[in-house]
Amino acid sequence: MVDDDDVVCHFRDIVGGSEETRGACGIIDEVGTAALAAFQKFERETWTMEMNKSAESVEPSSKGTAVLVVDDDQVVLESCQAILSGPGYDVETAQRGDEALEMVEKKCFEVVLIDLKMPGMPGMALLERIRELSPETINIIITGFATVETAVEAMKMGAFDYVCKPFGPDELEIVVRRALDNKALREAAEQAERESEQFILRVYHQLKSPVGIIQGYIDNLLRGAPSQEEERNVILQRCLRRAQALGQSLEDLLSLSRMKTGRLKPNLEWVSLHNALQRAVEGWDARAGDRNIELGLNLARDLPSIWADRTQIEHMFANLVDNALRYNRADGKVEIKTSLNRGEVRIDVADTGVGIEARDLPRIFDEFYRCQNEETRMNRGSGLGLSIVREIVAAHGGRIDVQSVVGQGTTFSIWLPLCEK
Amino acid sequence: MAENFRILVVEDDPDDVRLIEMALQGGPYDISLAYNGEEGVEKAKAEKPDAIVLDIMMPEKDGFKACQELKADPDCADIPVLVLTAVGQHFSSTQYAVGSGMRMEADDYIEKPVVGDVLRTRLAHFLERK
Repeated sequence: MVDDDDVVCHFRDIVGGSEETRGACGIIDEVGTAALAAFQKFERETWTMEMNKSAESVEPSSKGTAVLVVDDDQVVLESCQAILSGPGYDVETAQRGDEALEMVEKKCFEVVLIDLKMPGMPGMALLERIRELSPETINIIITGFATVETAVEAMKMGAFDYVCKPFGPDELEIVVRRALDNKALREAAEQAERESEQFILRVYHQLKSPVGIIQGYIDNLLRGAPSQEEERNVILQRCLRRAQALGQSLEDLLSLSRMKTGRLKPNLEWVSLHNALQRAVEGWDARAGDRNIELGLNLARDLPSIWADRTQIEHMFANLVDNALRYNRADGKVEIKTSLNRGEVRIDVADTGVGIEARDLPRIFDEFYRCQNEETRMNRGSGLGLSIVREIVAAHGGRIDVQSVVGQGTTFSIWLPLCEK
Repeated sequence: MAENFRILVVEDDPDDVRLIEMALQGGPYDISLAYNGEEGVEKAKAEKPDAIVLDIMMPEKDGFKACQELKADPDCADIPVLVLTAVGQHFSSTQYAVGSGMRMEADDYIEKPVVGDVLRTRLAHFLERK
């Protein structure tokens, strides 16, 4: 066998050499062979360089998927390592079942490829042990053509898939990728189920609270407590308020749920922002009069209409204005401002209220999240209002932000895209 | 003249507070209030009440944390803690666990809403022993 380096030198000699040298080569085959060998070497070297380069570009801290290949055939081990040698995988090998078992005991592998026919511990036995030790590990059987039935047996025993020898690089990659995707899907499903359970619990608490209170108050009233009519009326008022809040909570819950699952089909039309904002501040004197809260409506001159769901947009503004009023102080102010800029309309709703603590700000749009302070304790909203606002903004391709200073006030800003008529 | 029992109520909802007050009306109790778990622990340590009525359905689960803290504190561990729970949520008479794996020991549990004589009766059981 001609050594690689010899071939390259030889080739250089032939190509760069004189007529004489070239002529002296003689047979075209020799040139052809030399050329091919040189080319292959060049290809190998370039490929290695590329692989090294891409390996270098991966952050040293990032680990690939941990893969263990168990096969007594060294060639199989090497080709698996070569095929899965990209930055996404971190491949280790073992030639015997007991060796592999030791490795599995020490390290958690995401994927293990197991050759069924091995001397020493048979592949099937290794599979069983790995299932016991590390149920999370995905096992893929490597089998020769003659043992497909055994592979199917192995799958019944918990192997995820099998690949037949001889396998090409694509085949192997596909099988491993499919196994990992399946795992990711399963984990996502489990996570979704956990979140759903949590959600149900929160809804339960949310609704249970006013029901229990109304029940408690009525129980007391029936026993004649409190005895004074004035006090009794206060209690009845509280019952009414809690019942109304409960009703609102139920509405909010349904709205939010339907928006999230996309069941609430938006009814799109040209919605005048001017009208929508006017609507949100209807009946201002009745709502704000007793606390003397001033309204400042500062709308841009040619405030455009947007292509949107009118009900949702109105609901969104109504919620922000309600909050601005609710958390405001006597003799305070609510200011609504609009501006146009680069294909977007911006709406600010600012209040001079209690403000939101820095620790509450990042969670203010979270479902059921309610801030904890003296003022908010008396305001038993559903905790869903802002979650719904966020959904509506997102559904219309916009974004929302909040700025707040405790003791001074809060400003909610919404940007909505404008489109050509 | 007998002194009133000092009861610390840790509860964030003003209506629930009112209901507890109504339940204890006219009895030998001086009620002190805390609006969240943190405040509850502070007041318990400062006032050393004769009993604590603790809502564990407050946001951030801080009723749980409060109970755990109080029971872990040798100065406060002896104060009887009666937790307010929702119906059907209790596992045993003094242990309460939720999916998140939090556990705590209370001395008794009472279902919300608090009505009638239930609270007085349960409190009496602990206060008599003093």
